[in-house]
Amino acid sequence: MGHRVDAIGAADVEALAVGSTALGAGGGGRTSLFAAWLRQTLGDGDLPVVDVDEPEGWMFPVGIIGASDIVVESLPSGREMPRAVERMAELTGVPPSALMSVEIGGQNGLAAAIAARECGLPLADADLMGRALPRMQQFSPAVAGWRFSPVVICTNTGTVVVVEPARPSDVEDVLRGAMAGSHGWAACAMPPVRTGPVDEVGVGVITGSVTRAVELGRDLLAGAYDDHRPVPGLWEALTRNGGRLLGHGRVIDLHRGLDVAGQRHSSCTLALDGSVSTLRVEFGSEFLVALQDGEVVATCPDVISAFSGVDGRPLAVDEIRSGGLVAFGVLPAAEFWTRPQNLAAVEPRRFGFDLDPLLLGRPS
Amino acid sequence: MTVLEGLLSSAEWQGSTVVAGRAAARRDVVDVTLLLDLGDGARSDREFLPDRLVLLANRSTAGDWRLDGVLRQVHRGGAAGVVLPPGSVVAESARRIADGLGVALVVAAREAAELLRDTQVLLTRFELQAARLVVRAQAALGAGTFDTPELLVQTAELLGVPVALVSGQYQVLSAVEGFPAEVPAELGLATARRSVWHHGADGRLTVAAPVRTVDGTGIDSWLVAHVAHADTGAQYTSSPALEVAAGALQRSRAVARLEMDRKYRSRISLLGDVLRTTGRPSPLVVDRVAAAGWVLEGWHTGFHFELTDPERTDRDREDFLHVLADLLRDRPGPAAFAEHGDGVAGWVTVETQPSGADASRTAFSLRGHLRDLQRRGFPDAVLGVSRAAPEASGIALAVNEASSAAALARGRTTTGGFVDVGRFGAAQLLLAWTGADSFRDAVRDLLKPLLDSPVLVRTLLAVLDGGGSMSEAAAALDVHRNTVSSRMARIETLLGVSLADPDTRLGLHLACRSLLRDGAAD
Repeated sequence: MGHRVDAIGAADVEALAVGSTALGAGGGGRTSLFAAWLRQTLGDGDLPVVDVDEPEGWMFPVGIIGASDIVVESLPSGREMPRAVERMAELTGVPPSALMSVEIGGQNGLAAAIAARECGLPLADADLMGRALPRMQQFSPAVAGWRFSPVVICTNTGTVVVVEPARPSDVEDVLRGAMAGSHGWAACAMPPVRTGPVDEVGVGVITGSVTRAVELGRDLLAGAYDDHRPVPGLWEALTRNGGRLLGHGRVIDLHRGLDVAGQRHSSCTLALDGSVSTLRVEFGSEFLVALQDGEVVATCPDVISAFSGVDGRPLAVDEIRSGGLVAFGVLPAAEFWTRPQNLAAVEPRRFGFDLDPLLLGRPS
Repeated sequence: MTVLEGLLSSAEWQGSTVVAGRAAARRDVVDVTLLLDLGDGARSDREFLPDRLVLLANRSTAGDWRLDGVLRQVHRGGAAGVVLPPGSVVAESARRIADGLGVALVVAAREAAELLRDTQVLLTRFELQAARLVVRAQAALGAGTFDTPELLVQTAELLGVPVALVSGQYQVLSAVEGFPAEVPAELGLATARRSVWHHGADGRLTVAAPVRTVDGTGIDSWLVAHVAHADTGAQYTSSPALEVAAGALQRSRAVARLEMDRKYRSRISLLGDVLRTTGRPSPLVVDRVAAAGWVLEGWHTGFHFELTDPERTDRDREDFLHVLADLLRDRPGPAAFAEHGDGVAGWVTVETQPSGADASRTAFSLRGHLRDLQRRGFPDAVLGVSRAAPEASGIALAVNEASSAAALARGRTTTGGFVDVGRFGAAQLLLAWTGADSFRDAVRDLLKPLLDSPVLVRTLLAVLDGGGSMSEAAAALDVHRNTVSSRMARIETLLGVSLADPDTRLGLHLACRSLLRDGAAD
C-alpha cells in the first residue's frame, strides 16, 4: 500500500465515500448524505488521521447502528455521536485521544470522521470490521475476545442507552428494542481501545482502514468514471488494490428473499459479456458468495463488490436491477479475518452457505 | 443402457420436460442415482459416475444456488443429467449452466422414488433383450463358416430386419432383399472404430458393426442393419448381436484363407516332386497329383509368374498368389500351379499336341492373366511361357523352360514383361539373353579397347559373320583384303586375344552383335 493518509480535507471526501462504499460489499448504507455532511463539517479545514500508536491515549470507536437507510428519513441532529462519546468517556473514566470508525464499509466509514471533526479530535486509521458486516458481534474486538462492555447508544431524540452485555451476541437484541422507538437507528460508541504498537492493537482492531478506503476510492475515481466504459478502469483499480474483476454483464435473473436451507437471502445472476458463462452472486445485506457456472470463485470475508456497468460507481445490494449492467469485483479481506481463529466468525457457513471460504491469495 | 431421449419417451417418463441441456438428449444412460437434496450434491467432493441420471428426491427453492453446483459436479463426473421433482421451477442461471455444460435438466412428472424403481427395471429390460439376441446369434453363427450371402440371410432372420455388407465408402457390397439403396453418411464409417448407429429424421435407425480384416489389424467392411421404426433402445439390443455376426464373417474368411494357404504349401512340395520326376512318376506321386487335381498325361505348356520389384514384402507375395489363384481357377481346363522359386510356376494341359495356333491361343490367354495382375496392383509382374512338352517327364522341361523365360522377361520391360519361348525358337532365345543388362555390361567390358573405333568393331563383326574369311569380310565392307588383315592384327593386339580360339570367336561374335544392336557400333 502507499504511504498512510494523514489528513482528510473536503477534496478527499469523495474518494473516502467511494472507497467506503466499495468496501461495504454492497452493504453499510448509502454514503451520499454522510459525504455531504462531512464536506460541510470540514469546510476549508483538514481532519488529521492518526496511526493507532499515537497520540498516546484512548481511541473511541463510534458510528451509526441499525437500519442505515432510514437515517435519510429521520435526519440526525448532529449531536448523537458526540453525546455517545461523552457518555462513554464518563462511564470508562478515560478521555478520548482520537475517534475510530466501527465499520469502514458504507456510511460508518464517514460517520466517525464527522464525529471526530465535531469533537475536535483526530480520526484513527483503523476500524472494527475492515468492510461492512451485518452483526455487532462481528466487530473485531468481540471476535478477538476483547472487552465488549459497555456499549452506549444515543438516539436522534437524545435518549442515551447504556448496555452492559454479558456476551457480544446479547447486545443487538437489547438495542433493537431501544432503537425501535427512534426510527430504528442510533449513534453508538464501543469500549475505548488503548493506543499502542500496531501488532498489539491489531489483535483486536483492523489497522490502516482509512488509508485503504481513501486509496481505493482514488483509484476507482481515476479509472472508472471516465467514460461509459468503466470496466478497464475498474479492472485496473481492483488489481492495484490486491483484488480482481470477477466479471461483467447484464443481470438476467434476480431473486430476493429466497429461503434456502432455512436461511433467507437473495441472488442475482449475470450473463457475462462475450461468453456463455454466468456469474451468480448470493447476498444478504452484503454480497457474500460468487459462483461462475456453478463453481465458487469468491466468498466472504473477501469483499465482493458490485459496480455500475455504466459509470463504474460502487452499488449497494438493493441497487441491483434486473436487466442492469453490472460488474463484480473482489478485494482481499483485511488480514485480521484471514487468521484461523477469526475466520470462523465471518466465513460462508456463518451466513448459511455450506461452503468453505475461498480467499484471494489464500485458497481455502 | 439406453439413450436419454429414448428413456424420456417411455411410458414411465411421460409428462416429464427437458428444461435445459437439450443437447444431452442423445447421451447414454446406464443407471439412475438418487440424490436426497441439493446440499449433498453441491459439495466439491461429491462424485457422480459417468452415464448416470441423477434423480433429486427433495424439492428445493427455485433459484437455489446449490443446483448450479450440482450441475457442475454432475458434468465433472460425466453423468448425463439431473431430474428435479415435479413442479420444480428452474432459475435462469441453472438453465444456462445446463445448456453450456451439455447436462440435461429435466423436471419429472412423478416422484423420484417411483421413477428410480421404474427406470431401473426399464434399463434392465434393454439389457435382457440384448442378451437374448446375443445368445441366439451365438447359437446360429458361433461356429462353422459362412459365405457372405448366407451370413446376411441368417443375420436378417435373427434380427428381423434387412441387413447388408457395406464398404467403408458406403457402397453396398451385398444385401438381403428390402435393404434400402442408401446408407446414411452420418454413420461416420470412415473414422469409426466400433459399432455406430444413426437415427434418421424419419425415425429410422441404422446400426453398423465393423467386420475386421482377417489379421485383425483393420476394418474391412461393415455389417449394417436397418430398423424401420426404432423403438427405445433398439440400437442397444441389436448392436451386440450384429457384432457376433460380424465376428462370424471374419472367422469364416480367416478359415478360408487358412485352408487356401495350407493347400498351397502342400502344393509346393508336390511340384518339387513332379519336377524331379524322370521317366515314370512313382505311384505315390501319381496319387498326390490326382488328389491335387493336377494332370500328368498330355501336352503341357509351362508358365512362371514373378514379381520383379525388390521391395516386395511377403505380404505382397501372398496377395499376389491369391489373386493369381483366382485367375487360374477361372480357366476352363486344368491348371496346376504352386509357389516356385521367387514366383508361381505351373502348367496347363491339353490332350493332344497343340498346333501353332493352339499354342498361340494358350500363350495369349496366359498373357491375359499377366495383364490382369499388372492392373490389379502388381505392375512389376512378369511371365514366362514354355513350348508344349509331353507326358509327366515333360512337365519339368516345360516348367524349367518357363522359368528361364520369366528370368528373361525381367529384363524386357519394353515388351510388357512377357516372354513366350514358342515364338522365339531356341536360337533367338539365346540371343534374347544377350539383351539382358548383365550381358550388355559384360560386352562393354570385353570390347572396351575397341569402343572408340566403330570401324574396328564392324570389321571384326564382318569377319566373324563371314565364318573367319578375310576375303568375304573385305567384300562385305568394300575394302581391300590387306586392310582387313591389318585391322584384325590391330584388334588382336588391343583385345589381347587370339581369334584362332573357337570360344573366343563365339564370345566376340555375340558381343559384337549385342553392341551393334544397341547402336553403339554406328
